[in-house]
Amino acid sequence: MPPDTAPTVDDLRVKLCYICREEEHYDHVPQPPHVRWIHPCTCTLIAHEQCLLIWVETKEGEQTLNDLKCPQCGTKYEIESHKPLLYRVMSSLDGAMTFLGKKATIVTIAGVGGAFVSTMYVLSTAYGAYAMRRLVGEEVFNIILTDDPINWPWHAFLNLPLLPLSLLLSRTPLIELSAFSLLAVTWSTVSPIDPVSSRINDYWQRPQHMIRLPPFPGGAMTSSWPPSPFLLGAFVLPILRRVYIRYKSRIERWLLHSPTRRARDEAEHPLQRFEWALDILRLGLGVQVEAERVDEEPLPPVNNNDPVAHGEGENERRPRTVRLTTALIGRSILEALLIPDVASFMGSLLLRLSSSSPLLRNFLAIKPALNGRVPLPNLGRLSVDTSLWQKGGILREVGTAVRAIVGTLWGGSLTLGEYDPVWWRNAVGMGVFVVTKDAIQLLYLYLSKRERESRRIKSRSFAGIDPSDLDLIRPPRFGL
Amino acid sequence: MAAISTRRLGKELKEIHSEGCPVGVTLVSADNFECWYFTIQVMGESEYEGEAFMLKFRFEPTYPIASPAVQFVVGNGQEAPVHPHVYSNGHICASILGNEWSPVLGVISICVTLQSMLASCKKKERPTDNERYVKHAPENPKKTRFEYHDDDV
Repeated sequence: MPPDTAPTVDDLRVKLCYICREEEHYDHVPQPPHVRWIHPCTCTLIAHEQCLLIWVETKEGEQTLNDLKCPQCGTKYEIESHKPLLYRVMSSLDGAMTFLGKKATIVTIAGVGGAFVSTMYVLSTAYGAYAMRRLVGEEVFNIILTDDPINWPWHAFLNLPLLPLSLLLSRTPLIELSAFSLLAVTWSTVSPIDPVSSRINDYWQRPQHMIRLPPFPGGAMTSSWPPSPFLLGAFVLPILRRVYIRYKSRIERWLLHSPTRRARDEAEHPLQRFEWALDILRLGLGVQVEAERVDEEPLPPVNNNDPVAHGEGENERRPRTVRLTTALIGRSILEALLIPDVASFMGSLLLRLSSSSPLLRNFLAIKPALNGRVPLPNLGRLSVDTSLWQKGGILREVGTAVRAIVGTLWGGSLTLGEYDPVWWRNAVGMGVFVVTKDAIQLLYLYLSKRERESRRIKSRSFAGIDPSDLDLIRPPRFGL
Repeated sequence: MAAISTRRLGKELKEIHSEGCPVGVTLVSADNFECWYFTIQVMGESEYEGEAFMLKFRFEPTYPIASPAVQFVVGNGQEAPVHPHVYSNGHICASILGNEWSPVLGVISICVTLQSMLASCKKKERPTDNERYVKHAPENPKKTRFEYHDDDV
């Protein structure tokens, strides 16, 4: 040791971590010696870097990382980490969302607490009607619901106020059905309610008139594409959703739990800090923690050093303690109630994009608005079948009836078939939005993970401390 | 996370057995790494001369990162000391058990701090909001958000 340099943590005879109180004697270094020792302040306390980092993480949120101090001497810890520009932008956006979330919770609580039950009912019904208008588009809205509640069918008064609730529930892992499915199933078979359309609709639904309808009024494509709201809501969306969530959590696990150098360090010092921190982060972003899905299909351990699988036989997973802060609840509420607007916005974006792509135009089945003209009911298959109705035995009649029902469900309801399917492009748009949002969140999680992995606490020398107070391997020789 | 608290508590227990407790602190039981009992007495002249109080420590798997839940035992012949920072249900309003907790502290240092908290007491009285607090207090004192009014006691 040159006389002019202060001793460092490596010169100590016995190292004692002030957090876990593990000792390490300089001639009994455990093999392999991967645990880094840190002297982060100006007093004599030293610790494992891993232990310090865990403590840092629990303090996160309460105070900014750089305000962390030594509990004994009060010296600020210096933490360095890798923060690319993209990460910094994303984390400040995340902070802004959390702030908005806090405000939203206050507003919601004030709203629920301040309003009477009846006011709540009126408010949620109004919101439900607004959401319907955004989701199906102005034109169809005026046919099936209209602005005037006098025209509404009875189920609208149950269904519309439940809409905000179902949107909120769809943000939790409690229900499998998405809010859109609920909507589509209830509303796909309604008849028009504005007086003119409903009179015409009634007329054409009588068998003697039905026969006169052309077999496929809008051409074959219109009756089979897009799939009917019922079909989409009841079957396609729930299945898609399941598949999507399963693959998403796989990708997430693969990306976020890849074995890194740090993860191998933890095999010797099994602290599982990523698991923990990422759960909190995930919750913070409103990402559902798909606990039961993980259990359903346990992935093989990523590698043999996986700390979760081999951490001193400690196989039980840390209990998922969910810290629901006001900000998180508010964020979920905010995001859920914005779904109709987001869907509508994405739908109109798709509409604009489709003007330059005939393929997209066909896929979205875009039609010009009818401008008040009432279309013939889309009874294509049904009308063909009714001519067969009279002849044939019972079996054939049953067969015809089944085909008629299936045809209606697939080809769209009597009402919606002829209109520009705004609901369809909104649904597609929402899908695109969800996938994009998840991709961005995943990127943010990944960058956060990298930031955490790269954290290093700066170690200082024992400058300023009398070397005789330290238990050094080579004690300073005075008077020489 | 369980491993770190177990190992740390194991070390603390070993130290207690090998070096003994400070004067006035006695280990009553430490049969597992979840719940320990101690008794503390105030040495010398004080308002609490001749009295002994039992302390209950509860540890989470996140100890020592998170503070332990510490309270005086009330019932079975035990009473909480009458002190401006101790509620009659045994809950203690002390900043080192809350926001000033740090892993450098431990079971023994908490006992010693509480001992000196009692020793420095000038007047035996309950906290002013005792009745209101005890009526609504959660079972675990860590679930309470105390406000640490004065630091001098």
